[in-house]
Amino acid sequence: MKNIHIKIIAICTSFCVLGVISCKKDFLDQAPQGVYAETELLNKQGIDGMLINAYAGLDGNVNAGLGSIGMSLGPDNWVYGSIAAGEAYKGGVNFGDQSELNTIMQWAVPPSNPEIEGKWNSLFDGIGRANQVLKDLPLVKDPGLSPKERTQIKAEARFIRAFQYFQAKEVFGNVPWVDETVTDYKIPNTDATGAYVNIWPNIEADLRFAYDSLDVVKDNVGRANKWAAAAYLAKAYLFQQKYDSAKKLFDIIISQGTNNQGQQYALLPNFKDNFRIATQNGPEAIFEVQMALDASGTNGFMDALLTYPNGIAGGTNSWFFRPSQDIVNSFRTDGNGLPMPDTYNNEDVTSFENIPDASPFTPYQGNLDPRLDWTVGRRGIPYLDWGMMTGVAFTAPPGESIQNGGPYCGKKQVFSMAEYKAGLATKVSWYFGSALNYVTMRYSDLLLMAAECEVEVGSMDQARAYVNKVRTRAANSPVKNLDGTANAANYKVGLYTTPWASKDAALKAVHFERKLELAEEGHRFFDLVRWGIADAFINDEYLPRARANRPSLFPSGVQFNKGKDEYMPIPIYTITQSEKDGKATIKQNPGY
Amino acid sequence: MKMTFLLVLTACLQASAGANAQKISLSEQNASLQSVLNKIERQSGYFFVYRNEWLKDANKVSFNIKDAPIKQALDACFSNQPLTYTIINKNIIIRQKPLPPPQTPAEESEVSRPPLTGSVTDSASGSPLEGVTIQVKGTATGTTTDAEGRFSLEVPDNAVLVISYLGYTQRQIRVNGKKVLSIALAPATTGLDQLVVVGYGTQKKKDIIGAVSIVNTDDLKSAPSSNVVAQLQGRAPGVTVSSSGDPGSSAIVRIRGFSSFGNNSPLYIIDGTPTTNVSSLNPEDIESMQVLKDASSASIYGARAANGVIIITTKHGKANKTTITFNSYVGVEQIPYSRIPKMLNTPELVQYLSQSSDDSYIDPVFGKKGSFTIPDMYVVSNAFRGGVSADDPRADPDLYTISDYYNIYQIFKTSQGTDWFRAMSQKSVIQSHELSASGGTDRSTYFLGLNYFNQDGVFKYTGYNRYSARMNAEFTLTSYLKIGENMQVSYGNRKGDPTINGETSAWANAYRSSPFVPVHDIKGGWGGSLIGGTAFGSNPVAQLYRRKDWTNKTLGAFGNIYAEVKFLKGLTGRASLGIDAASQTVFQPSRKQYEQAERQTYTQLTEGATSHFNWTWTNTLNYQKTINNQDINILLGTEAIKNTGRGISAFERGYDYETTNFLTLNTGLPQTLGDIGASNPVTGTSTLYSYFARADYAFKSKYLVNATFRRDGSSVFGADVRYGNFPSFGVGWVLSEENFMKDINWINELKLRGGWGEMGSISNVPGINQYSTFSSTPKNNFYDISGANTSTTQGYGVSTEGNEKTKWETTATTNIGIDALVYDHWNISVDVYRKNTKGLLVPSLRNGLEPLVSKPLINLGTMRNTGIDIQVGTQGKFTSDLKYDISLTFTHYKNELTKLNDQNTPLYLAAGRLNNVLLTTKGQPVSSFYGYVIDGFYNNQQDVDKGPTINDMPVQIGSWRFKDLDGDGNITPADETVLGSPHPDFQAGLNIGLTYKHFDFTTFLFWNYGNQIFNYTKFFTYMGVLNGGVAKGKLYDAWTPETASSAKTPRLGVGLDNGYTSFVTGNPNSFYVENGSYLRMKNLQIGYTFPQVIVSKLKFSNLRLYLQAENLFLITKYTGADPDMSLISGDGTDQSLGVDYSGYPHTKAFLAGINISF
Repeated sequence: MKNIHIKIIAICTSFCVLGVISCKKDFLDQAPQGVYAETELLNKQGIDGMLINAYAGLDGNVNAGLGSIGMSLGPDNWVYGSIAAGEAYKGGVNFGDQSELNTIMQWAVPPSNPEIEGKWNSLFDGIGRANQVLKDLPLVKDPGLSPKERTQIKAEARFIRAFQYFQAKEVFGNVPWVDETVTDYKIPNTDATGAYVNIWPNIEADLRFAYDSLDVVKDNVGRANKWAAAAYLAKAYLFQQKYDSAKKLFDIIISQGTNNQGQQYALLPNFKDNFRIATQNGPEAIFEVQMALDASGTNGFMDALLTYPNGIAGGTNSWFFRPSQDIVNSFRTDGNGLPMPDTYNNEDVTSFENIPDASPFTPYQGNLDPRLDWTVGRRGIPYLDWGMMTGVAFTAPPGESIQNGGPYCGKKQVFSMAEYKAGLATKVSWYFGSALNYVTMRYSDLLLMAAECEVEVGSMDQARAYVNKVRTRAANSPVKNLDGTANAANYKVGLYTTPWASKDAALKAVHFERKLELAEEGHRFFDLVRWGIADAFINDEYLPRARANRPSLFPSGVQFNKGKDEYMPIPIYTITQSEKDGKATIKQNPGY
Repeated sequence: MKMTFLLVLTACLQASAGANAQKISLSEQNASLQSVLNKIERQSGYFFVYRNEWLKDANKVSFNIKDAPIKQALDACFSNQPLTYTIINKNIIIRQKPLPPPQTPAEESEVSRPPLTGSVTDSASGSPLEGVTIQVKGTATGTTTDAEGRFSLEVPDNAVLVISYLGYTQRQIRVNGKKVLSIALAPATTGLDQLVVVGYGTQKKKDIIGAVSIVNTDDLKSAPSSNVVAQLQGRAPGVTVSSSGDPGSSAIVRIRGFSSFGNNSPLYIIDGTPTTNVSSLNPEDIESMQVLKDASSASIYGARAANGVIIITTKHGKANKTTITFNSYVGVEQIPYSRIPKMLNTPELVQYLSQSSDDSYIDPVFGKKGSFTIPDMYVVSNAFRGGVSADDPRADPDLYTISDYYNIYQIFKTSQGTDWFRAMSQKSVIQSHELSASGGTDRSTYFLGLNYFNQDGVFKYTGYNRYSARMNAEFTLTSYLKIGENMQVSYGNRKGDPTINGETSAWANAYRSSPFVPVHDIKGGWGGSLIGGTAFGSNPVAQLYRRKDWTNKTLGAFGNIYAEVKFLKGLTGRASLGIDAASQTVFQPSRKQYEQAERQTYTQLTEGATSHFNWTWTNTLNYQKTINNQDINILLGTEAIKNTGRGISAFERGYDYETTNFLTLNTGLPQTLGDIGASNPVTGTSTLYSYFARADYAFKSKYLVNATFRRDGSSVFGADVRYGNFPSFGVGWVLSEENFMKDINWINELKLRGGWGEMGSISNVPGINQYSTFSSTPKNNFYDISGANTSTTQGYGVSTEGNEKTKWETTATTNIGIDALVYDHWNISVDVYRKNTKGLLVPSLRNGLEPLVSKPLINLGTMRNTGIDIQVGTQGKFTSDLKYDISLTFTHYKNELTKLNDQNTPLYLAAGRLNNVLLTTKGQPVSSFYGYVIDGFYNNQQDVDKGPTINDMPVQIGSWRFKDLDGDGNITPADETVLGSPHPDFQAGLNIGLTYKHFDFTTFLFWNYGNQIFNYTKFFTYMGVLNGGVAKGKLYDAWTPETASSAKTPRLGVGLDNGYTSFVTGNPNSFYVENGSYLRMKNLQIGYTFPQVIVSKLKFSNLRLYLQAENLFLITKYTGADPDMSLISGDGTDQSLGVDYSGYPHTKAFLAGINISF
């Protein structure tokens, strides 16, 4: 009998305990850890954090592209803006290194190229980040967020969206418009008639709103202000050849524009100051992507990480983005110190190609624009403050020849020894991170755009004045030799003292000045396309010489195809994923 | 030590056994029989064989003899004993005298009968069995067989005899008036009455309907390994296994193909507690292992069963049988160097350079092209890097320094060809020592085991060791209550560089290092890649050395406690609480390197710790009833599982000393930017709550029916869809029991089985899948909005998109099987199956216009596996001394993805630096190889003109011509196609065991046939993108105008003469894809078991010595180091199978071992 009691108790106990567990409904509710729910962020701090996240998308350093570091995805567009324009060769250890970039250098990009997919994803990720802010902002009921702050957040987000779209227009051309209201992402880039949609009005609307709404002075130097929005709006007009609107706006900016600390826009005294950490975000800065060597080491100038030369900071690096002979020759000046847009390639600036480091070498003795030596590292000229650039030791991977990349290395994206010693650049893993910002637009750029408008619809003299202003600063920016006693080369920069003979001559001069001032900064290809001269320049001027110079990079058959190569193809993945009822809603760019 | 001692002891005793004595002189008064026997043994040189307990009941003896023959002495001893003796050669076998007939009721003993006589033999070998207990059922009457297996017993005509013997299946025989009986007993291991552990209980083997492979655990343990699942390869049909040879690493096990393309690992149940990792389990502790492969057997595990279930039961003590065993082996392992791909030596490298560099090329080491010479020495410094003669002032040893890592001056003797593979590897020792004790009484049993395992890596400065202790016990408290526990505590430590795969592993760096670089410079500093053509390969020996202090330690406890209550006759309740807990710590100092092109100029310490604690609470109620000829068994149960985990990982940089003792997370130099970091690898919590039931019904043991049902609820799914139901049913028909089969003599047993059911898979769903979340990580979400340059502001970004509707992957399995025993000793088992997975979890694809957030998994795909598993075994004897035991397993599966997503967009994965190497798409098996097909060479200008062109670009003479599949005259991505599959057509294992007298011989052959391997190591050795070492084939098989017809690889040259165009080096093609078939002798063992007479003399019950060779030979056409690749994944998912990123070669091993039991 006693046993039976125990048995009953045992049965009851075990099944009661089971009952407890099965009744405890939340046993199966296990929330994820270490992440935020959207509802936790619908407040002032959260929405501003989302805006910071939208800014963080500007550097293109997202989980895509090379080794998920995000090389070649940023707004500096060293691949799409510079290499594709003949300003530089791809470089790398050898031709096979990051071979996907070769097809961009050779204007033969297949829609399956993973690099363009990375760039596309980076842009639409950036657009999505801005849209997230715009979508969640109305949901924030936090009384701590004032209406004025609300407007600033909205305007900054719209500026960022327009900025990303601007790049998307430059690189890919026919892109559809995605805004914060979208739920179904299968949006066509064509209208009912099958023609590509024009999203310039959308970009203009975002920039116009930002221009109208943004404060002039912002509490953080990284934020876009009213005049940055104005400058990009004017640039958008210019890209659509709306010279009148552009000129009017440029005039206002030149007369009233200030950076977001309230400083009147002006050129920095020395050209090089645009590429130094200490002088960034100065009066010449219109908009910069802020880089930082923070504790994570991942918010530095990642796009530059494979482009540093040997011989600095004890590191051997990856030798990408190597200036072309064409860009170097462009800095030759004539007896008056003026550029030679038609004849600059008649003579090569001498390089150390085929001369061992141990053999004596005399740098080019002809007249040069000193901006060359702030743009390109060449033998016999001090390399920033790292000492003398000595040749192969700077430019070739150990044991490799310079066949693939050529005898030059870049400078504008490279940190100085002083910056390195100050802890503003360091080796993070196998690569360097640096706090050097990328300046997306600076005042000299704006002056030269204004000059274009003046030539087109205004005063050629005013245009000449703008160009001379830029050249005057160039003339005052010599590179000194190692002991600082004399100029490192025969620099001679003159001003355009006589009026230009014709509109064509004026345009040629303005265009060429832009090539020199902004060389290797990722703008030129888009300018060439905008001016309609990409095929003429590449096929007639650049390629024949480049092919003779570096035959393995440009075998016969390599050429720019007008009507097709102006834009990268839309990545095949995007087109496949756009399928709706078996039909792609995204139409490929012409010619692909 | 222990082993040596035993060996010496054995030798001494054998010597004494040979001592010469015949006549016995003894004078004894009331002496114990034991002591007298000892004296006789000493004087005679004869051995006694007996059980100790018999002598306890012996009477005292008294006698006096002088110089008598031994028989007289023995008669004197045994005259008044319950014991008797037999002399065989020099052995004296002592037996118990048959028990006196019991007092029986007068009615039954009216007539005195002549005794029943008979013999008992082993059914397989036919040899007589001694000591078999024969008992009249329901009485105490009984006897045991003698040495010849004979017995005699007086029994009534209608008696039923119960014949039992340890290790054999018990039989009951009706006497039916017979006077002579010949009884064969079958060993329990093959017996159909063998109890097999299945889901939540046991079943007689003959009643099993599902596809269950019973693994012979002795075979498994015969090979040395820390990890028992690695040894499953070829041992169980339906189970495919791949393992790297790396010490301490786990093996990849797949049961019946792939039911998803995430994680397809089976569920392991050890003593009722689930786990995903069995690597800490000591193989010697395993009593039995079953693989549940189909729904009838496995779907009782519901949502976790789709990948198969492996049930492991650890050893338990047996009542009244105390056993102490000692098992030990020591061996040497080495890399089979003959398998390693051949690389150019230095003179060959120079020859290669002269063919592949342009005329103006100046090599820093070998000089100007046209006059390349191999210098005596070369120097690496900031000021000068290049070859010099020995008497060159730049080779002055006084200039040497490596103290400043930025400013080194190293002087090297140029190597004529460093064999980096030999330089980085070593012969290594593997050893295991295990001591266990088991036993018990009627009321309690125990098993205690201790194991030490140590394996030095074949790569220098690596290794693994493990200590484990097991304590299993069971107590019968009352007639209705039993409690018990199974518990293992283990500690393991992996030492050294754990990178076994990929281009930064030491083994890959051996491919990537140049032959002219010596391992060390003239003063012992490391050779490296700071000079000519060496590019980025880092010295693999230096890499291993610098990581020698890396440790990865795991301390774990695993087991359960349980209670069993017998409520009523046949009704048993059982509750079990299992735990799986472990903590792991990682210590990885990363030291400065001066010798590498991409050098590290700081010391970094990474330390991490993770821990998990999982519990499983299972309650079952089991009812068993036999009514007439019907067996009914019903099981009901509930189970709750909670898995929790947490971890941390941090690093710091900047140490002024590199000694291990100094390196802690807080002894780094004052922090500068980017030198400290922490991450918190949260593993989170997941829970599962389930109900389940099973019913088995057997009619006359002839018609079998079984059904199971399980309902699982899981926390990883959204609340609306988190419960899933998994039913199964099966039927079995034992044809051989039917009358119409009785006449077919050659069929002993025949059973048909069939079953259908559904199972789920849960391991591919991250807990976060249902939630949309924001994250805040510096790289993705932070921005320097204030322009501070050294700090950033926190931001929040969407990181995952959730899907609350995602639910279980369900795999429906149909299985038809047949089990047969024919011609008395041929066991054949065949299963054919079809597995259809629906609701396959596939990543929802991001639209190209969406932000880069992690997309949720959705139930979109479908997948099908079909296959056949065959097992054939036979045992018998060629002669009375030469016996055999042979078993063959055969595994074939065919995997096909039948739907991937609505857009039918294939999934492509990169392999290393090559994109789109692996394809997962509809109509193909998961993880197919993809790329361009090589279709000869462009041999001349006509070929070039004929095309095809490549991406509209002209092509080079001497380069590969690719197949223009779409015929448009141009090679584009449209010409890529499937190049091969990592899935073998079949795998087969053949185990041959032979015994001759006391010798035994075992060999195990494994045959893998019909898969391809993507040999990515060729990217290092042929494509030249990363420079470094060059394969011999690149020089000797290269295209030249003369060798156009026999060439295998592109032309060597410069510019337009270079056949290695960027298209060739940048895209996957058929050159990488190789035949992965192989035949390997995995194991060869020869053992000697000492005769019982000697063993008993030593007070052992068993003593065996053996010698063993592992991986003695390998036959394959594969040119990489090892073809055992098919399941090794590059990224941990099953979408990236079969790529050899420079795989760790399996080693050859030679071992000696000993097994002792007391």
